Amino acid sequence: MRLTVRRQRLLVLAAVLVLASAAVLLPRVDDGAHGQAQNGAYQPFACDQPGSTNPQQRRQDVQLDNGAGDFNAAGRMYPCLAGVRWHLQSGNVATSDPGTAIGQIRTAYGRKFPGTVYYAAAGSRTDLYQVAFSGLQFCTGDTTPVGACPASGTTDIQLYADSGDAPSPKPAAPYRLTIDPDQAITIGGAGVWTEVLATASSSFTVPVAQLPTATHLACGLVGGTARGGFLGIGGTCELSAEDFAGGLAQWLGGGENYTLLGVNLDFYYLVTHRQNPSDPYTQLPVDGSGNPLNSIQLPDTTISVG
Amino acid sequence: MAASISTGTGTRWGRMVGALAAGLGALTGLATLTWHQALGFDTTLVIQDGNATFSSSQITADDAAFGMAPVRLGNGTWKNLLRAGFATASLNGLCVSKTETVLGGIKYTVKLTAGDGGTGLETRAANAALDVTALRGAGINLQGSTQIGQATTDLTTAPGAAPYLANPFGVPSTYDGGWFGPGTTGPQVYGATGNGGHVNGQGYTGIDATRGSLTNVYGQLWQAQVTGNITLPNLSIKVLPFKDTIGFNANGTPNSTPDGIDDRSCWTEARQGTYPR
Repeated sequence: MRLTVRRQRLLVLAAVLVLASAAVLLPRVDDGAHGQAQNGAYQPFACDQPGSTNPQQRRQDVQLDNGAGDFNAAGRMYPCLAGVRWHLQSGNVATSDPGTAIGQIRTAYGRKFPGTVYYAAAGSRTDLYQVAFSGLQFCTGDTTPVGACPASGTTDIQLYADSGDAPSPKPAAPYRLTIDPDQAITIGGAGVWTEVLATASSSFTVPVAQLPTATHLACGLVGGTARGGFLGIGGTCELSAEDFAGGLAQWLGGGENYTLLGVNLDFYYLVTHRQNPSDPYTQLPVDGSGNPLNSIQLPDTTISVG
Repeated sequence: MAASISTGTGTRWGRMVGALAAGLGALTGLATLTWHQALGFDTTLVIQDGNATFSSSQITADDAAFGMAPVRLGNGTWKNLLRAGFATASLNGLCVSKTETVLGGIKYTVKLTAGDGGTGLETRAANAALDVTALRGAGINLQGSTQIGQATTDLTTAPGAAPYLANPFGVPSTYDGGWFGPGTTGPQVYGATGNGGHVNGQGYTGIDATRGSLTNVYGQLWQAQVTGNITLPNLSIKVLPFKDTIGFNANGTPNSTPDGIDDRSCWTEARQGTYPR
């Protein structure tokens, strides 16, 4: 068959278009955005699922934030999750008093975690939220991060994990692992970025005065619960992880610092890492001498099993 | 007494009990045994009932992890404990004490202390693990990349660089009915099975950190293991008649109400502010 020059040109053009479309639409096996591959050297335990060709089928892929609100960063963690809920609580999320500060969360961002979160053997959930921040600093008498902190510091911090919350299979005998600090703790800090996979109902409460327009309207627009104040001004705003990651969340000023009046956080995974690493397993948060930076500080703390 | 410490095969409190029970009449003569030179030995302390305590002025550990783990007790049952594992640990002072009761209800405390008396880290151990039900530190500082929420099977604490050893805490990762050996039966670690029996440590949660630094730390000890050599300068082992004249208020201040724990145990001394150096 002989084609005219015009038809040959059309054919070539069509072929180029098909090729270009394929390049855009078809998934690439080695997508550079994925950063380092999952590596048995750093995740040696086989978090497997019989019948799967992938020996790490149940290992969770957690794509990290870049430290500036972009959750499509190169770095990824691959934990084999216990499926046990950790609970961190301090202050009172239902308070209407904006003066009872317990600490500060710095440079915080949130999003709905895309896809499914798998546990080590069975069970999964699709309703978790990813909250990233540069620091979660509770009040102390020495280095008070916010002016309204109680002078004596905050001592009501509760941090524990209950095995009973995990789906089966799980330990035959339930346990509670409690981390009970007598002084204020710090999660994250200079040079350390922290991310948690939290339930939608996890919440923190901030003064309304710190929101855009400083009104209850701002709190309500993003789905938060306003309390106290007068004529829609002042008082407090309780924001859930879902609120903080919602469509209007950026309007809240993603990346801002917030004074905390209460925290009620339920999470299944927490990780601290260097800001925007391409491989968080090898690029650790370190100081200028190569020493690892403080990531979680627990002063005067009792850890117990009950 | 010397027979209670063995090289290469470990130290077992049970043997110590037997030796001491037989020679209780000579307890006074055994009251103090001290090695003034550094000793080196592979050691495993196996404690049957958890009635032991430890303390240290400082533990700094690379590749530190804390994970919930089931431990089979001498009576065949399982107990959930917190296993603290360190690829390499450097200590400033170490104290381990254990109270025993022998025939006639006589109680005594065996106490091991080591340290050069200075402020630096002088004792080093590789692949160390402590099983505890209570741990207290004036400072528990996790550094570097820290993860919370992994299954304990997923923690890494083996010394050296990658590739790391899988499941160094040895938490059962399968539900096979044969944890007690082929053809045997007994209570299962897990309450149910799933994932084709590959339970993978689900429900046992842990914390993994690049480095852990524990200051003025003490705890209730169930088991301690060190793989490889550990050098214990100025090792001292004492057998002390049980003495209990003090207790503690809720705020940690001492009182005169006995609390059932030997006044000279590592636990009680640490609560009063005395740590081995």
